[in-house]
Amino acid sequence: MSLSTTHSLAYPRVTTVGDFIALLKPRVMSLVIFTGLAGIVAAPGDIHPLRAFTALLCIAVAAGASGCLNMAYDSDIDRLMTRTATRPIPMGYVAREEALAFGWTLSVASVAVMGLFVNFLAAGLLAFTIFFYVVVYTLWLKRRTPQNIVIGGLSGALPPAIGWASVTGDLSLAPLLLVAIIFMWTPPHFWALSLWRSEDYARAGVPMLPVVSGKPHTRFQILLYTLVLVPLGVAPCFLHIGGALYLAASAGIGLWFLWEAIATYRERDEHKEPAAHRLFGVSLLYMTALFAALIVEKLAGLPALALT
Amino acid sequence: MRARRKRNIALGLALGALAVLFYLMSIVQWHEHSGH
Repeated sequence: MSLSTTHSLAYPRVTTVGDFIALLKPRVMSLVIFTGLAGIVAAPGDIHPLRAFTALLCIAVAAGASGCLNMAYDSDIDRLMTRTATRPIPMGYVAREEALAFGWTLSVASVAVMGLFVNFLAAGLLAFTIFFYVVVYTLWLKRRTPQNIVIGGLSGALPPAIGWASVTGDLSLAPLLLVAIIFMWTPPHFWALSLWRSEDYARAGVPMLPVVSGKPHTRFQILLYTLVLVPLGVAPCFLHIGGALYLAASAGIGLWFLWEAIATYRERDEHKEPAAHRLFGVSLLYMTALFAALIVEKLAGLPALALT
Repeated sequence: MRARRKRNIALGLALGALAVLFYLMSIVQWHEHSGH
């Protein structure tokens, strides 16, 4: 990494360690680590603690690398949006080429270490996740279709399956159900955000659903996805991976999620979008609570429900 | 200069941690394969 200075700032400054950490999108990474850990913990069988740590480290680094590459390839539109204009590349703290080198190096390293020390299925899934996020979502879908986050959401949904495969070396219905839950959760989560950021996306020319089809249609789609998500969120109790705590969290917060989705559907304050803000918060709580319940139940030795 | 030194230290630490991980994982792999 060379000493890079900015060309766009009045007062150029040297690239710092913090800039490279920011490129890894630490907040997104923390959610990915969390769901990946849930996959590792919920999977049947034993795994050496150091191997579990290595798997989780690879998942985290791959997620960070994907975020870094996303920021590099999207730096032209990031500088146009309020939410992303302060990222390291638009600010001129890190050169785009440096971010590309950093991201691809970490991507290759994370897949290689996963293959060497965990197993090839987990490594393959990890490589697919990076490819899907960077090539399919960032480079292909994001600027072309309002279904960008629906399809691209698959990459963010895969970490539990990668964690599971790290332990078992194969996949079954249970990890795929966890993937399906995150996959169905992603559209209402991001469309809630896009309701109050639609002007940003329109300015950058990103065809998010509110920009292309309008806010009323987006509210309807949010409600539809939530109606599918809430029962799906309870389903792990039928596959013997969720216990009473999981059932309470998924049903309780799921109903709250649905309540806020209905409120968002009926919202008329298009300026402040208070219901969409609440929905965004509840969606984060929902995802955290579901996977926390899975982890706590397994670590505490609580029995899974046998609802089938 | 200070920021660059910090960056070099961070890079060194990351590479060092990776080397330690390789070493420890090699032991785990050897341990499992030798049936201990």
